[in-house]
Amino acid sequence: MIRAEAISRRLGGRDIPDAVTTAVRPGQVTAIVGPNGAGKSTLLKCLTGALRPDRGAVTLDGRPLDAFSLGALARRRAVLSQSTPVTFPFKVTEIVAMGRNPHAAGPAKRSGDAHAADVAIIRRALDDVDAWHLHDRVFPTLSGGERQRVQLARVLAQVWRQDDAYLFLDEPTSELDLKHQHQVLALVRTLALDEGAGVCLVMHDLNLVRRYADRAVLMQDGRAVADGPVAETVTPDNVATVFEVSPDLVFGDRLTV
Amino acid sequence: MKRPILSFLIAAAVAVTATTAWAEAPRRVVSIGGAVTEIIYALGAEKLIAGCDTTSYFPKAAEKLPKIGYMRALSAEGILSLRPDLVLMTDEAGPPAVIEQLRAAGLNMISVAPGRTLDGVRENIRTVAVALGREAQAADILTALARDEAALVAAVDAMESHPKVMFILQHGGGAPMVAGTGTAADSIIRLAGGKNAVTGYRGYKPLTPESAVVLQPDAMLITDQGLKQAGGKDGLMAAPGVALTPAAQAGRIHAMDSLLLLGFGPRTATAALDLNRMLRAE
Amino acid sequence: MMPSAETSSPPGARPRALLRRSPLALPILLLAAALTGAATIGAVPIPLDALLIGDLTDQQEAVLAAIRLPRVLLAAVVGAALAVSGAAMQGLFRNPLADPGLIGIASGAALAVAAVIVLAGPLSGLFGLYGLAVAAFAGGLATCVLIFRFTQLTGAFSVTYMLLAGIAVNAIAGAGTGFLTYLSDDQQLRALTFWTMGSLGGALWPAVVVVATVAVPATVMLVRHAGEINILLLGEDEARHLGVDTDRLKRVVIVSAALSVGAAVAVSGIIGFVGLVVPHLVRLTIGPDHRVLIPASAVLGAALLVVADTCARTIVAPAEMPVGIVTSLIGGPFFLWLLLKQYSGRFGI
Repeated sequence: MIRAEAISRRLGGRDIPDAVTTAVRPGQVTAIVGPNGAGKSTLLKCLTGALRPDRGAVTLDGRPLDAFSLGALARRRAVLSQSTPVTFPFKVTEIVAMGRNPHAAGPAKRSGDAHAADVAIIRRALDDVDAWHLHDRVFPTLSGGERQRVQLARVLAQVWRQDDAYLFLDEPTSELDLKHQHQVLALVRTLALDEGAGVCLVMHDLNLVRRYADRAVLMQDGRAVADGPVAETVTPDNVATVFEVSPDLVFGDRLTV
Repeated sequence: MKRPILSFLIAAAVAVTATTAWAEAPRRVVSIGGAVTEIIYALGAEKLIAGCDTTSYFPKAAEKLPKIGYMRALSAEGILSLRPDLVLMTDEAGPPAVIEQLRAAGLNMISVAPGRTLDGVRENIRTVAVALGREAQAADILTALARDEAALVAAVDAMESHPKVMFILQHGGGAPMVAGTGTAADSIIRLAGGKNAVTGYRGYKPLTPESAVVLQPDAMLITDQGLKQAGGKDGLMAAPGVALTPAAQAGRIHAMDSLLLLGFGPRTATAALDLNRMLRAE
Repeated sequence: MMPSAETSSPPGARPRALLRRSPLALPILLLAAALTGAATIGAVPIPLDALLIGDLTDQQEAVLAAIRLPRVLLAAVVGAALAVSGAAMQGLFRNPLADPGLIGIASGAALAVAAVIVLAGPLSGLFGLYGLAVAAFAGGLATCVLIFRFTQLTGAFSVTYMLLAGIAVNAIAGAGTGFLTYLSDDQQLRALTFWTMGSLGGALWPAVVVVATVAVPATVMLVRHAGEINILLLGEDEARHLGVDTDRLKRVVIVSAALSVGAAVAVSGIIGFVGLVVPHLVRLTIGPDHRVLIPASAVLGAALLVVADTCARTIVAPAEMPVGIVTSLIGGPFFLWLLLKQYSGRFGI
């Protein structure tokens, strides 16, 4: 389990996050939701170790994240960031192969070099996100949605079929079409339920959250105003106060997917 | 090609200024160019110098004069602030716009061509003497110059062969900057009875080190300043190609002060004699 | 690079497939040809057959041993150092237009050289012919360290800050050089101008040894970290998530590149375009993988500078052309062509 214990981080005169205590649990999909600027991505970065909280601590299996080496951490958790511009003409397979870097051993294979096992993983990861047909393409020439799926394949390859893995995905479906949104979310849900991965998503679409997440952390002004099972947190009342929209937009029958 | 026209212009300028100067001899002179300043000193007119450029460092007393900067990067206001009634300068002075500004400001200006022969030196001495009203002193200098020239001609005539001399302007670690034809170095080498080893190009250019070997110079000539920059004779000998030349193998690397060697002022005949002596000593 | 078992080659991609199988073969062949040609061409003609059977005159032998071989080898080492550093910088800044100039080596070296030429008359004799080299090396590295420190002052070690600090420090160094140029006389100006256009005319065996001593370990270091440089191209956060110690990696890349370029600039002045164009060319023909890109850039950079320097010392003989002019004459048009290709959307495909 990855736990955040009362973490705060000073940012532009405000605390974001502001004394947030939460957890990402194995075998569950946790969604971080909230309006723009609420601190969702910053919380995610603290949970992944990309940012250090000024106060409080983040632990993995009870040990502070700081106590793990970058490599050890990379073998436990993979992170998909919001946008990753790659200007150099790498092939899709080369990008996904980089996900295997933490598992490479010895100087000769320090870096993304794929052995036979890795080759199989890369193929299956691309298959999982419906992107194997892109494998020989040059990454920067892909469409936004295609790039997002390839990056997701890289992240999947990083902790491939590990039962102790954690996946952090910051808006993983932002550029995907409807079909691929559901495909990708169904996939990560399977990973959590069947393989025991701990999945943490930052999401805007509350309909998708209600459908695919087990738990939700509701963020407002840096604070976690609700944290628990989706049914208890993404409620009409909370949606009305946190998002300042009519709950009908989320819970109204016509608009519910 | 340009010489006759230039001489004419200078003569005209002198004629014009001479008439004005007759009534009122200049009392504050700005001198631009090492050779011009040397001539003024030789004429005993140094008290008239209100300021000079940074290339005027001989005689030593000239270093103490107010400086107006480097002769190719003059500033009009700096010169005007010295309130000169005459500017004596080499044609090489610049930038042209500043010279034009000075003219427009109504300054009395006389320029002389950089000498490349003893005749040119004589002409410049006469021009400066007329401008300063020191014709009598000029006659003495010219007599001494004629005496040195006669000695030089005799010495050159007595040479059995004319050694090939390579002049190195500077050697800063890359290819050496070597004098081709049409340079002051080329002129002084020929005046002293040598031949310029480099005839393949005009002006100063980087010489590819292998060519130094192919050209087989009998002697190398460098300024004191250039030799110091190259780290002395040992430093120069270590440069690519230098050690493989007959000049270096026989240890014939000669250094002279750059103004003395290349200035074409009143000391040029003695400088050529010195150089001739070095070349013959081999 | 991915094994190609599952990679079906599109039609017409055979040369590229060949390049992928042994990506260094062609560059090495080019370098061998360049070295052979350069050894035989020059003011003193040394025919290839005479060279091969060792039938040389004393003069040919002396010129070959004392002038030509050190020069050709220096060109190769300097070319390799510049190209490798360019490749590494482009990776570090995640920008195919980056070059070692961004970290101040060239501007700092130029400032130091200008100071020695213009101000330090008496001091310049101290190291003799090496005076400018020592100044250039010290000035280049000092400027790089300054940019580095400023970047660290901002707290985060971000390449964006480094780029901005680099622009500012380069501008200041440029102003200093400009001021010294203003102070200089004709002869000094000439020395300064020619230095900034680069020359390998001062090539001596010690220079070859010194530059190789710096550039070879630096290249090895960069090749060892090439896989991590690949990953850095995903973004700094991504690279850290993938277990790459990005701060350490950045330090390794900058120190390696700064030392190689510093040594190269010290012995040859400023030679443009090699560091920019060669990695580009390799990326277009072989691919962006730094594990191949860096060694291939080394070999191709060496070949390019050997050819350029051979031109520089022969086309206007007995004089010689500054080699920086030759590389820019080759590199400039080539770069424009690259830009056109990039904008017409075919870049990298």
